[in-house]
Amino acid sequence: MENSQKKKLPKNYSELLIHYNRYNGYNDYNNYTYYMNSERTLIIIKPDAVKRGLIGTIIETFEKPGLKLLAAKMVQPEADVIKNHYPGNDPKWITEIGNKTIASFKQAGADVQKIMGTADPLKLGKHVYDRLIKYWQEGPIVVMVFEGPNAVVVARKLRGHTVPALAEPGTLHAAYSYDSSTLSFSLDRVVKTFIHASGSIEEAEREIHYWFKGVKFENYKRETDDLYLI
Amino acid sequence: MKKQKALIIIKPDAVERGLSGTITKRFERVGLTIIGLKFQKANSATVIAHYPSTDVWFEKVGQRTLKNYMAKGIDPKRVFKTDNAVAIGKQVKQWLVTYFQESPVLIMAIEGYECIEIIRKLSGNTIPVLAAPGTIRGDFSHDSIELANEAMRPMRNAIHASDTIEDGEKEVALWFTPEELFSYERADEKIMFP
Repeated sequence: MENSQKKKLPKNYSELLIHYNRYNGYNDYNNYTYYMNSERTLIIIKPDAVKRGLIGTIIETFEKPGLKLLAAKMVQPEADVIKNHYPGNDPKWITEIGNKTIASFKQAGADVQKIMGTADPLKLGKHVYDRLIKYWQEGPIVVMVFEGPNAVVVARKLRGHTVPALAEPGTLHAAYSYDSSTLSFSLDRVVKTFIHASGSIEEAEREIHYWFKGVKFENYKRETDDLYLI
Repeated sequence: MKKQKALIIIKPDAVERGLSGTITKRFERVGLTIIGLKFQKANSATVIAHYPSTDVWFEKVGQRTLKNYMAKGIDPKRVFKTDNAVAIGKQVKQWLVTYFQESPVLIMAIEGYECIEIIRKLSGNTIPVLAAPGTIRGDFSHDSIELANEAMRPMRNAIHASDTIEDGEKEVALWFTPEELFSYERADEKIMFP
């Protein structure tokens, strides 16, 4: 386990999938289609959704299309653990957050400088980042791994747009929240995006290794496996 | 009144059918709080400790099977190679351990007022054919003792739910470490219990 963690990750998509399947002991599944189609994504149910009793509803939404639950745990991490979930040490990433904030102010027709006291993307980014960590610490969270063909895209689609007020009808974010940037800024908090879903295969693998370090996921067969994966 | 704790395990038959979320929802919507949750393969020692290992318990389980066989006119020796209740009880426990480890399971610690009575009511009769519609077992499982015995396997009844207040405490402590349990207030708690 230790050694394979140090190994450099393969760059190419199919190599990447095979690598992760092998890494997690999937050698008993000697089915090429299975290897090629399996992909994993990290889902986190944040404190507001836990307090609203939405754990089952969220798990159900991802289980229904056939995604396979591989791991789950309820945790209440320290600030540092949450901080490292994000590339918070990267000024580029912080600046990007700041720029997104500026864009959402512009979209809402609000003056960033006047409301936030600054229009500097880096400063704004840091401000948002701090509040983001605070949001994550409002209570316990549920961290999960789901697996299946196109897991990343499927999960993101079911969750919907990051900002609930902009999410498409039928998605979880649309069905369970009215939160928006304007509302959140007026209350000096971040938008409560109550479900995190990895944005790409690479991000998913990084996040899975971060939250489930050294955990060997047990494979099992879902009722849909033999209909679609062989 | 003090809140009670209960252990719920979504067993492999429900996990493999993708019913973990659907079943979890039922406990959340009545207002119970999930204070601990993990999805993992059950460890043999924990499953063995989960069920009693006393001769009294083996006898009870064995007698239940014998009674059922008698009613159906089946010779227990044909299936178990014995008609001794304790020996049959031990065999059934072995089946249960295997069943529990067929896939990972969703293990949850649940808390609430009258929690045990509520989860028992929601779960329904442990024998699926006898479980009322609207209960978890009545709605999501189909098995019977006859069918299970015929195939020499334990009954597949979707979930485990603690039986008594004492069992609830004991089972939560067996499956969870104190660090894995959390205390928080549900958003609707004050509305339900002002």
